[in-house]
Amino acid sequence: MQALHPLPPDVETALLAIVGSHGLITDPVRLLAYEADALTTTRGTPRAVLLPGSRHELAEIVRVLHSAGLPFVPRGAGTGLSGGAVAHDTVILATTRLNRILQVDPEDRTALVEPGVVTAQISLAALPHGLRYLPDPASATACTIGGNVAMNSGGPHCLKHGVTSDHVLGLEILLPDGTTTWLGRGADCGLDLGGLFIGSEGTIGIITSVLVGLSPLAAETRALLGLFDSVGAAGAAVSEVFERGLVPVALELIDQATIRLVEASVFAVGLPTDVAAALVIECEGDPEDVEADLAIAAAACREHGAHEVRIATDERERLAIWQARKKAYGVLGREAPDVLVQDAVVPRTELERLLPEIERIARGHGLRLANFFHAGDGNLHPNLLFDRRDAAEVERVERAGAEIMRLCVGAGGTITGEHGVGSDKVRYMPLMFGAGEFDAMNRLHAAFDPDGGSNPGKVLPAASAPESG
Amino acid sequence: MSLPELFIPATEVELSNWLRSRAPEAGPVVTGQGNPDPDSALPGTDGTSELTIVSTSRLAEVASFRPRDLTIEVGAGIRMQRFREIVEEEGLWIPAAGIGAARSIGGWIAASSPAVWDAAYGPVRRQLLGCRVTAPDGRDLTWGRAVMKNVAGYDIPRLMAGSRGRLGVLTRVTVRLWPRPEAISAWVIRGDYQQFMLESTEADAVAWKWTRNEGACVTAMFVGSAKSVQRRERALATRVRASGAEILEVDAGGESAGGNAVLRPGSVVCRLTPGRRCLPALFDGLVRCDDPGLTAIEAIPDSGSILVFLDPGSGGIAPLHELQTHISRSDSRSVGTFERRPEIGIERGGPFEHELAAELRDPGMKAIESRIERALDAWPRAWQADYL
Repeated sequence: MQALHPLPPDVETALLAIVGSHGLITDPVRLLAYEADALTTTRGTPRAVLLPGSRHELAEIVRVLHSAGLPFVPRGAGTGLSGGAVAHDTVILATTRLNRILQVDPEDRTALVEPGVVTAQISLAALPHGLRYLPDPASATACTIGGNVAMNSGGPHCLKHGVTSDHVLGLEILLPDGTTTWLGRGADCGLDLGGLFIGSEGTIGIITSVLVGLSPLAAETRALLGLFDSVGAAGAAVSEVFERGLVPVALELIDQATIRLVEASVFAVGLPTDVAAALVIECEGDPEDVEADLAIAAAACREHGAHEVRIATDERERLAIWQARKKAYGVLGREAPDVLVQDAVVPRTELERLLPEIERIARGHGLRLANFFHAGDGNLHPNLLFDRRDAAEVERVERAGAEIMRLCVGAGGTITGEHGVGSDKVRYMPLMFGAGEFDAMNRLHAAFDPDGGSNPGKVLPAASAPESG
Repeated sequence: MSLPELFIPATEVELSNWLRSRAPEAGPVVTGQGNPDPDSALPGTDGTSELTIVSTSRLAEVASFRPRDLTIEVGAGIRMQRFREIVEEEGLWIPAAGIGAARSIGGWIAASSPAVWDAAYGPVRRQLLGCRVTAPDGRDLTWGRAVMKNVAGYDIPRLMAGSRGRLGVLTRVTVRLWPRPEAISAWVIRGDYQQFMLESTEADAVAWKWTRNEGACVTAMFVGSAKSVQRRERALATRVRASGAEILEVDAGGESAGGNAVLRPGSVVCRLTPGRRCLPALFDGLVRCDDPGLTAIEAIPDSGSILVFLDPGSGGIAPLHELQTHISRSDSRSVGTFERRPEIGIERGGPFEHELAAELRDPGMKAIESRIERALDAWPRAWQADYL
């Protein structure tokens, strides 16, 4: 553990007066829980963790920290996968106690929520009105809406329905100096201020409320499972689905390594462990259309050599098909104590070529690889399994990760589709942007956070800032 | 009034060099298509600085078309008709109903007006995956990639969509395409618009329109398999007949419906976004108010937005203030310390557009916007549009 710098006594007194002793953590042992988010390889020790119980308390805290010149790191449930909520000797502002759903307006099809509301809770609250909140990150039952907005999170069903940014109508935020402001989505013919803030990863302020759009439930939802003898063939079938004019609501790929881990676990659903890859394709809408869409998806799978296509006949079977995908990340723990998951996005038609390449890179470094990802979006999730106590293996993981990243960017892709840049991918940002773009982003950042007090060191490489040339 | 200067760059480099050589005090650049019409009342003209128009009409090449990936990168000046021809040849489509054939794809994105397909396919900003922008200082910046999801760095493409050329000239855009639906159609129905709006279970998207001369009507849009569209069309037709309403027009292509009302130069178009709940009452109130300056109203219930068309020189800004009061009354939601103001702005407003907008818009958001404009050396009075 790093040496701790306690808060200056006057600041600690001021913060205690706002949140009380139960809202301030300084005990080094309790701070251990906040060392990392779900990317366990990036760690840092915060000076303190603050857990405000109201938006008013949050605003007061930010003002105190600002006048003391102390930077802060916003944090939701800590389910992020890019080290975005890691604090290196700074203060963590955890929004988990700001978990009230302030209003569900079924007529308006909106919900106004605090940032610490768990994402899945929004759909639960909307359900009695026949509505739902569409983005569905795999961690929806644990992650917070504030974290989703900060990272512009995706999820399997974002293929058809769009990502977090497509379902947020407005935000109330605190700027790093503690002033509060509402950010709309350009409905007033101005700039899409909310759109700029969504995905800014806590670097230009902290969220105090989110107005999300709700959508009607689908009349019917059905899924099929296509089983393939090669990962490349499954990749080719993904493109075929779209070429046949179908945009399913979800299209996921699960490889053999993942299927074997799931089938060896308590979540086993009876998938054959000898197939190289499986596609999960889900369609929703009018029952007659869903039937026709499933037929298109099945034909696309068979065209590329699927030896079996299972169409779920009822809800129980549909959920079983999804189980393998949804429990995949958790069961990786059976195989190795640590995992590095990347989330590069490539043009869909590149999957067929890149999937075998990625396997070759992992094998070349003597690493175990498991793939399960949003194939329909071209959003890869190569999971490299390792043990961080093995320094040599960690190094091989880093090298393989960098190789995969360069491969994907070289194919016209991006370094991250939904997990964010955080701390982990800052080093890959120069693959994406040149000096002019970095300059513009640094100037935008400075317009909101001139003192660099909001989640320092994330997203933009320090070397890209004007001072250091 | 002297004619504005017109510059038609053949390449981004030419545009970039021209901007670099301009004096910093040269004033804003208005970007658009076609020839300037001396009668049209352009925004950005404050009478003190010369107006310069940049036409993107020659920046119209197809840079990269990947039909199998459902993406295309094109010059911002490509006209909608040409764009549609190119993508339709590959069985693809963009949800841009009502965007006229002569408009440019860059103008469509720069304006990002609410449109009838917003709820079904996402608003314009969802279709913009990446762009190239020549910044006011002449630098060429590239944002985004031709991929379906991308969270690397700040989401600048979202900021550019709807920025109306204030952050630079949009020169190239990468757009998300969709498989062309087997069937698309648009029905225009005259009758009790309330009856066919929020409850329209048959259609995939609905717009309400009212014009002073023709009264109110509803446009119902269908999309999907031929079988499904036909079935739902039949259901709607039955309901229309039972209610005594009248089917005015059926457009099997579906692309022409949803277009804006015909505008006179200098018309003021005000955009209100009261949300779905308050929209029926507001639409009703507007239809009933007897202001002769009000020429047309268009509402998209699913996105909770209304466009109000005011005749030039009618009541000036007075009717707009009335609207603002009206809208505030109909939605003054307040939850705890939280208050959401209904959003109101000027889509286009003739020579005084920026003044009108400044009076109407939320001061807090305007202040944030000014910070962004200063950071990017923006042209606060610029305009990228197609109505030159």
